[in-house]
Amino acid sequence: MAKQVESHGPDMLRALAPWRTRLTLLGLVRWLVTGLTGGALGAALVWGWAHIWLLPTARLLSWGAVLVGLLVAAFWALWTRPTWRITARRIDRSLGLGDRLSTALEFSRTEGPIIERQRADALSSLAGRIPNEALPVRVERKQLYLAGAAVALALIAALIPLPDRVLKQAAVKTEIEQAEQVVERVQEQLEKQPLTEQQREAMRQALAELQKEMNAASREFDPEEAAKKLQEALAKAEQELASLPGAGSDAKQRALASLGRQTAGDQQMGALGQAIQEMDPEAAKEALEKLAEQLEEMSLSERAELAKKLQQAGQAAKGDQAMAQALMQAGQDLAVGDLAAASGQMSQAAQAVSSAMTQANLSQAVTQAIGQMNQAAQGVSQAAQGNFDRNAAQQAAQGQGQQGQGQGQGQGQGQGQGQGQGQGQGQGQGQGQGQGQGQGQGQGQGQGQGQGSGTGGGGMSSGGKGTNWTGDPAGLQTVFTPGQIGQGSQGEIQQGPQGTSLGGRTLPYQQVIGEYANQARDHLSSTQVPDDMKGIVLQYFSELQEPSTGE
Amino acid sequence: MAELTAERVVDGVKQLEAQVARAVVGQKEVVRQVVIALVAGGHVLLEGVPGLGKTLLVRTLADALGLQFARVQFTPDLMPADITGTNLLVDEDGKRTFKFMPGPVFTNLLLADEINRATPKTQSSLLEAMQERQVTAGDATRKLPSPFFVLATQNPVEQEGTYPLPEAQLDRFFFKINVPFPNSGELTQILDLTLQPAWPKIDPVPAAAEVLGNPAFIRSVPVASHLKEMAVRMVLCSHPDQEGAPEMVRHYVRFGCSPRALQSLVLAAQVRALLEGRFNVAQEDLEAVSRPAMRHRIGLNFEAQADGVTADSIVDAIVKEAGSK
Repeated sequence: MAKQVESHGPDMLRALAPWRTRLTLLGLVRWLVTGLTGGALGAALVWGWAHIWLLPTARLLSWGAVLVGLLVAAFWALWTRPTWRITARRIDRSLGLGDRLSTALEFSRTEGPIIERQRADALSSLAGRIPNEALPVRVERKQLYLAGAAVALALIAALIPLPDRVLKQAAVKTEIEQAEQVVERVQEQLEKQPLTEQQREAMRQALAELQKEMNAASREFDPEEAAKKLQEALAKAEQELASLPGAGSDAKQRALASLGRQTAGDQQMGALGQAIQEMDPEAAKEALEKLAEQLEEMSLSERAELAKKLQQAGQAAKGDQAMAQALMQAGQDLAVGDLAAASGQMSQAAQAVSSAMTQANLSQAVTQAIGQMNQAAQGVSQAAQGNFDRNAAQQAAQGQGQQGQGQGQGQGQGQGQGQGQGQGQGQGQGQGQGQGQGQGQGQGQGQGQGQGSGTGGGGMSSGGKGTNWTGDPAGLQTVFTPGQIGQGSQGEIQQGPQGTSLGGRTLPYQQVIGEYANQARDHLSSTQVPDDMKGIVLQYFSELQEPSTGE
Repeated sequence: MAELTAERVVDGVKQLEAQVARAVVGQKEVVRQVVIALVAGGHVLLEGVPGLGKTLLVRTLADALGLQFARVQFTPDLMPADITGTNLLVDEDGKRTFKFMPGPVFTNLLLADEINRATPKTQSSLLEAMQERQVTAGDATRKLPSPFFVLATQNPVEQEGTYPLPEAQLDRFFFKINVPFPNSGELTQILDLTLQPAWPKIDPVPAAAEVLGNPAFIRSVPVASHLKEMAVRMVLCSHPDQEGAPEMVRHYVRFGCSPRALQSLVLAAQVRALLEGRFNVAQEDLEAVSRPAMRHRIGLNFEAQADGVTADSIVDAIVKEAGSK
């Protein structure tokens, strides 16, 4: 009587082991083909979706689908590797062994004459057979065709150019992302400003609201609608930011500029003028306070001269009532010899100057921020109108990385070196590094990233304190020209030896050119210049001063 | 007696088939199936038109096996007692007593020729003999000699004056074997054999008789569990109300196979495996014996008869269904 004991016998397991490994490999190959089919179909779906809706991660997702398909298939193949019993049955079937192996495996621990004969018969049926030869790797033709069709479908879907609408959507999205970065930079810049808590809160709220609107716009299906929403949000944010500096800031800036011009280069008040030019409120305050302390040590003539200059400064700073009144009063007190009163008035003037400078700085920062945001809005608007780089949009829509290219261009006039990021328009000379957008003319050297266009002698510099300089390289006179603000967040400018000056909001062209012409004539009279060259210079300025070419 | 081995079984059967082949031309598959049934200890119903050698086959087998042989020609007026035997009133030593006179069933190999010509009452007289291998007459039950086999024949063509075997009777036959008409070559051989001056002499094959008397050895042939499951599925699939039954079964079958069919299937497969030189049952064995083991156990409905659907085609559908899982 046969006796049944547990599990499979070692002889059978030893004999079946290579066959089981082979079957596992065959299963793995078959499942990998299936996984490839599924993954390729998934990739085709991803690309199909990318042709309907912007999917910047399409490339990544499609490769991911293929990879996941293969991994899942491999995992499944190994997870469902044939058991010993299934191995035996499959080998029986494949080699036509008449269920010898499966029966022998099942009865591998059973004893009995016929059972032992059967086991020996089963083992002998495997003798001389090599798994690799008996079970070649073979995938059904239908399965291969299916996999090939799926891969071809995925490739076709990937190679078909994306429709214009999706490209536009990608371009707008890219612009919106850049605009978001601009807003972040703007916030960083404004956070550095000496804002009141109320102003800071208002600024944060405005920019947070803008970010929210930008997020919503980036999810918009219609690119034009997205651009419209973004522009509306930007306009609203700009309006709110513009209100930050408070009323009268323009007049104060003009007063400061005038004061700066008045005092720059003066022996007694030069420090004040330089501080104003450098937009350093503390230095300006210290300069006036130091001057007040020195009153006692001054001679009478010096006091009289200073009194006169203080009154002239008060006249120059009449745009800021507090500053003008304090300077005028200080001059009057000094003129009558009341040193204590004069000193007190000068302290008040120092306070007023410092306050005005702080407000001017804020005003400039806000102006820069608005300029940057306008630039960003313009980019979005252009993208929405179809003015965008199709290759870049294609890459963006498919999730290909791209490196930004561009150059920051000059800001203002003057000489200097700078580093930083910025946008701007202007003319200038300088050296710099940074990022920026802008237009300009000038000469210089620099490195930068960004977008921009310009003309001129290769002017390419960016950065700066965010101030706007127009000036005479010789340092005889400098004019501040608003509306051509070089904007940047970081960096510094080393000014030329004669310095530059901070001006007011607007100066008429004729006035500016007139001053330049006068300076040119002065130089020509005091310098050894050939007569014919003098004629050219004089003719040049006279032509510039003609009303027809005025603006 | 030497211990029975697979080789001796194969050798005995081969000798038996060789002896039968001397008298019976062709019909190798029929002979093989009859031998399988006999080795498994089952009864056989041979169906075929007259003149195909059914009776000759049985007689030759009896001769080759060296078994006691009896033939009963079933007719409508045949009575049960004509088969089983009867108590006769005899006068012995002045005393009148009943003495049992054994019928032809008391033999090793009973040929029930044209069994469907007898009435159901007479047919059913074989029920106890075939299943229990005993006969009850009067108040006494008598054992039949061992081995005991019934090889019945029936003519499928003639319907007039015949009585189809009841299901209970059919179920007791291990195999129902259809005897095909011989092909031209076989007919020529039959003619040649007929023209010989003397009928071939059949030599007894003791080795074959030895195989018939050792059913335990046959049953020790291992059957893998998946093949047992397949045999079970085959039987279950023959029932139209069973889940998994093929559509053909649902449409054409009135009733399916009994558990005896399952026994027949597996036992026959075991014998066939040995005869094929294997020491285990294979799926092909089950498939090979499915028709003779199941065809007479499946009741076809009127639609099947109207559409010309045979039991064999039903069995094939069942095998296909059960083997696919």
